[in-house]
Amino acid sequence: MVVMAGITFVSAGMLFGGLLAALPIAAHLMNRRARRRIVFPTIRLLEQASAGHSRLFKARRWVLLMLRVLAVWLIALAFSRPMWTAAETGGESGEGRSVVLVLDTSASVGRRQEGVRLIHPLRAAALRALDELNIGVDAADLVYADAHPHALVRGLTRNPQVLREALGELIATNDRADIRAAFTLADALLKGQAGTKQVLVFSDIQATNWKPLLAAGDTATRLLSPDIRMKIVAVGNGDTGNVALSDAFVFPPHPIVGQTVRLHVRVVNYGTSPRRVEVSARLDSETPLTRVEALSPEEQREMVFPIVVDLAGEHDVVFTLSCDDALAVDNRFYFSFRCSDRLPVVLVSDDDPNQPGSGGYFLLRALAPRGRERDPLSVRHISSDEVTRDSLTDAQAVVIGYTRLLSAGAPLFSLLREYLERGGGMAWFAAEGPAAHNLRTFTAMFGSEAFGFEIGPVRDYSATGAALSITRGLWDSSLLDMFDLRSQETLGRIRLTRGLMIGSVSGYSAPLLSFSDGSPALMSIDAEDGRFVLAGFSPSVSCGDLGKHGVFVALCQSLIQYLRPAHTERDVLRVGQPVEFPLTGIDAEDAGVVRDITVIAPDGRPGNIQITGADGHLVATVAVAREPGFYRLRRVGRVLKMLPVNIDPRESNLAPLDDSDFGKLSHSVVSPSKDTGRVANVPLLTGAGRPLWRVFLAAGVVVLGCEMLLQSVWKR
Amino acid sequence: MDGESRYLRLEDLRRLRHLTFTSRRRVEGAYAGRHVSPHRGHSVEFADYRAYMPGDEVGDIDWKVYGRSDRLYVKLFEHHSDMTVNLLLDGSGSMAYAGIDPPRDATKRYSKFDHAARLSAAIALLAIKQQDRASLSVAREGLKQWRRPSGSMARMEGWFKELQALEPSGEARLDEVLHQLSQKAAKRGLLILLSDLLDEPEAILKGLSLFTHRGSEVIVFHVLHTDELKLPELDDAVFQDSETASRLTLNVGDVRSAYDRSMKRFLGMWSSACRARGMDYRLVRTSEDPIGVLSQYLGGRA
Repeated sequence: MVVMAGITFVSAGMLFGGLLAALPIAAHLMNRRARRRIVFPTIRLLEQASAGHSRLFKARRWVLLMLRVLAVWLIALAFSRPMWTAAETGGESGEGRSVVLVLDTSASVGRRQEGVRLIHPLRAAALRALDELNIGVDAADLVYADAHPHALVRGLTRNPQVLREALGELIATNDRADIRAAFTLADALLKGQAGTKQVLVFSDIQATNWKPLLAAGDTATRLLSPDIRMKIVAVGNGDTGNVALSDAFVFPPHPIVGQTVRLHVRVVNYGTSPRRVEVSARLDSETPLTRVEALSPEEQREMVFPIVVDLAGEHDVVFTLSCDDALAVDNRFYFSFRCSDRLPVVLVSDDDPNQPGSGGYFLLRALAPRGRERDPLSVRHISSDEVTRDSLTDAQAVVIGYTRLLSAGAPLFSLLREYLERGGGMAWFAAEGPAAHNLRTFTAMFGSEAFGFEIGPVRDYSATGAALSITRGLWDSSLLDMFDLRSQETLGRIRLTRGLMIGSVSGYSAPLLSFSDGSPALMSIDAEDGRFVLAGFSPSVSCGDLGKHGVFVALCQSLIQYLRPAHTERDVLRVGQPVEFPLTGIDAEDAGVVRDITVIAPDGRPGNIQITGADGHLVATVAVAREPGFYRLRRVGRVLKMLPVNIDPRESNLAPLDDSDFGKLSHSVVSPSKDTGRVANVPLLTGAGRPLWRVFLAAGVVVLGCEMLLQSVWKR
Repeated sequence: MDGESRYLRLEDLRRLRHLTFTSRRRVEGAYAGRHVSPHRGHSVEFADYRAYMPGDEVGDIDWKVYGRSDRLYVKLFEHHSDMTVNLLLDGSGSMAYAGIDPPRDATKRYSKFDHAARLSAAIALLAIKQQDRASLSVAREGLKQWRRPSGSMARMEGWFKELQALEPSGEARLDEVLHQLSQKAAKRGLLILLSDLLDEPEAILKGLSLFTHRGSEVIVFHVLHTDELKLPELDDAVFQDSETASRLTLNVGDVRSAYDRSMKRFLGMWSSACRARGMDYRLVRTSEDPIGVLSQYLGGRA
């Protein structure tokens, strides 16, 4: 930047363009030298003609030459982007400005617009802002606004070349921008700086990124210190023609081998024009299934791909969208699921399941009626004091039968609570032994109102000869809809000699089954993220004849279906977030094993992992997932676990913030051109002065016009 | 004709076969011809009666008149003689001009001199065709080449072949040449001057008047290149005089209009001066076909 007589030349390098003024002079001199020599007969007439004119003609030529030189000079000065700064700074340009350039490098700026990625106009605008800096006087820094905003240098630098080189390498990440954190960082960088402080934000003003700031009531004045001026430089022409894949899942969520599963993926057309899209789903390395759909503007549709899984274990699914849209990174969605040979179900009871007549005996057979190996459910019997966290980890459902008297501190309760919190489903047949006590102890852990009912005593009619029966039910519910009239009648005829008294049922937890005396017999409560089903009866012969009837088998099978989570409990991992692999069954002391563990990133390179946690609960963590795709936990070449990572679906919606919303955030906004999406040619830094290049350019054109006019007039 | 000359072409002869070239004035020739002579002769054209004088041929006495008037009168007839066409070519350096970008190969160059030579060859052919005689002179630093009048085609061919080798240069000194030529040429004949007339006009006109005063007819073909009539499209250029080598640097665009005016004055001056002295004047542009020019001129002359 060069300052002359109150005029600051932002692109001082272009002043060298003034040397171009030498061109007309050189052309003039070369023309003189390269004049043609012509032997001519009528030179006498030429002499007559030129006599008296030559001096005038020479003067004219000099005037034309001077006009040409002046025009070139003025145009060169215009390209040097002169700014009139004398008026603002009393003759000197603004000095000691501290500027932080916040660069939105979220996935959405990687979109294509007019054939180029949006990151390029963003970079060009940032470079322009750097050009406006006073070299050696102004200090600046770059803040990359991605999922984890960071600055280029620790403090501000007065060497814009460093920033320029960094901008040259600027690329769009696959992250979602944490705008608030970027502002916080910019504010911290400017803290303690003297002079004018400015924050320039270069962004595509994606509504999904910026709206949360507005929703939280954050504005420029709240996000930044009062002495910091903020200007938002918007790039992009608001073209939102993007189609994206998101929210994939498999149903059933825990399929077993040989079962037809349905792979679901959501396709969203964020654009304002209809789209014809082709979506394919590839399971492992098999031939992909393809579907073609027409999507209306702003329509989202779930596409389903039925597929039979033949092998147990982890399966990866890659959904691919074939569509010429703005953002390419969201045209793939990665998903994985586990397929089992059989579904693990845990039966917790303190009786002997091999003892005919016991509750465990009937439950075990009702859950796996065809023999242990042939049933889809793999029932694992554990006594109440043997239950561990690992034993419940992969359980699709937990069924609790007879339990001995348990104290409040029994590990079973905390483990069951943890299981429910993880989204598990459990059923408790509570009519036998100290069931009422244990149940009260367990429900007390959740608070008095958590379950919406009170646990009463166990009623025992065995001595009196009286009996209870189940006579009413919500037969349309998903648990009981498999019971036809005959099954309902059969169930109603079964004598139950013991039954738990469940009282004071609140309105929102209606009983699924009711005893003949009207009291609830089967309740379903959504506890934490899981599902808890309380049965006031038991299959044990001491409690009645229920276990002897086939209808109990049907009830148990239906119950397991009911308890199985309807969705995968796996966390949805996003780019920019950490990827955590639980290392089940590995102890911290087993250093050799830990050393063998690697995590392979989607690009095939091993990622830096950090292993944390205590014995048996070690977790291998990749600090930040940079790429969407599958992160594979490997041990000695074998893939132990695979986690899919996708971009944040909010990045797919490219709609920019409304002008009104934008105004709320900051009053100083440089809007892009509606056609090109490029930033208008206006000064970006405050205190830069009034632009003079238009004046210079116009003057240059006027001078050029005068030259042409005089030339044509004098030629006549 | 073997090895056809650049100037003397058979095709020109074919195009000229319908044309005749006669002098507007009486001519004196060596032999009988088809042109009216100032002398009385024995043609069929009756001219006058004259009183018999001793020494007259008795056979010339008109006896019918003697019978009516009893006086002896001699019947006089027109004398027709051949015509001598004196062709004078300007061989000065200015006639060598062949444009601002002349071909380097001299045989492909076509200068004002070439144009004048071709026109003079056509006139010579026409004269020989009608049994007249032609002489050829070149003015280059004086009268350097004068050929005695001849009616021989072979000789003519030789002259024009020699002319091909001639490189126009130096000054013409037309006034001096015209004086010299007036001594050598027939008393009454036809003088055809083919020149760009860039010498002193007064001196040239004085020289030409020598011919008109003694009864010769003078025709001036003013040969100019198109570049001379309209300056070429150039910007700055250094113009060098083809005869004096003096230089002038100027921008053509600047002087174009003034030059046009000067040229117009120059041509007007020559045209009016010639006509005032009873000479024919015809401007010949190098862009014009010389045979066409001649046909046009002779058509207008008739």
